[in-house]
Amino acid sequence: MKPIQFILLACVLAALTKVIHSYQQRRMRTLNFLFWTLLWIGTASIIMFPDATSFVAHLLGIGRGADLIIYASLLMSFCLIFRIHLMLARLEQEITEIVRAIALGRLTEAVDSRGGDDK
Amino acid sequence: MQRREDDMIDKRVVVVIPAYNEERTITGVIRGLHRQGLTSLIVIDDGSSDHTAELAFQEGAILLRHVLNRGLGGALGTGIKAALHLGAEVIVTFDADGQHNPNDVPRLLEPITKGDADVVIGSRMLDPLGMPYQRCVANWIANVVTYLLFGTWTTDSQSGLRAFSSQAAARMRIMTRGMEVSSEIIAETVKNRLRRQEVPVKAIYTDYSLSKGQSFHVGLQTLMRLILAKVRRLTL
Repeated sequence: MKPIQFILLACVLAALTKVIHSYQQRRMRTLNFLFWTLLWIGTASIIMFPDATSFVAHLLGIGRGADLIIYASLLMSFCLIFRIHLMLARLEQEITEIVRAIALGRLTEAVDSRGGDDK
Repeated sequence: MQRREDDMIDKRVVVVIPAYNEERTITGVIRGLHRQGLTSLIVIDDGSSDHTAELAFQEGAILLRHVLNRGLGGALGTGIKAALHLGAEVIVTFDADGQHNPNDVPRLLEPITKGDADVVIGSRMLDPLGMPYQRCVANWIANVVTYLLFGTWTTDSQSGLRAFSSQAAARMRIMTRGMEVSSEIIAETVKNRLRRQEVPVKAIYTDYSLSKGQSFHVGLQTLMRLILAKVRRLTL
């Protein structure tokens, strides 16, 4: 193996350790844990056996293994960005619910303390 | 009969006014609605940094405050919930930027009080004379987008002047928080099989109200959020 492969493998190992740690700490759901574990194991396999990507690339009609990795990475990045978008939207919704609950909690007070002349 | 109508307006119609930094117009809007005999007004101060809340309070509105700015959809959702909680039979939504004419409200209420409709949209496009052409084009694009995403055609999908029966309002689920809420409300009328009508209204265009509307940039953001709202509807 070349030095770059060792460096990349060390990074993948660090990421995998973090995934396992998060799952043990119950900060990650099982489905997410499986997804990230498979992803990093897949990445490690590609680092160790780069020629395997060429084989898969040929099967899919893509010229080089490196191209396959770029295409797959791009696709995965888009999926992740979309997931983050949805997650942010959900968070925004939750913040709105909290802000709304605070406002509505003061409804009776707001009706009673109405200003103006036509109370 | 007229007396009965007046009574109905006094006691059962609640007007929801979402407001964000509208100190220049909020007093006039509330006074205009009062002149129409509409006294149950809920102003949702959506985290304004100016004197909108104080002015609304002084004018006798029921004032609810969002501690953070949540956008038009968030404020409308809060206002509609509050109106339902207060026992409203008809809920009217009315913009705080002064672009709506309070004289149009009785026309909006009529189809609901007669039992002909559950939701009435005040359409500025049924009689667009005097509407800036950029607004006409922007509204038309918004109508097409609403049609493509939610499969229903309206002449003014972005109108802020609407009336709902309480049953209709209770069935609608507002999830979006920005200006895309207008299209979402249209979508909800379809989803809940509500009877929808449009009545012509005249918008009052001033430099101020035009500056408060959707710019090209905000329009693009709204489009993006509408697409996300559509995806969420499909995935939920």
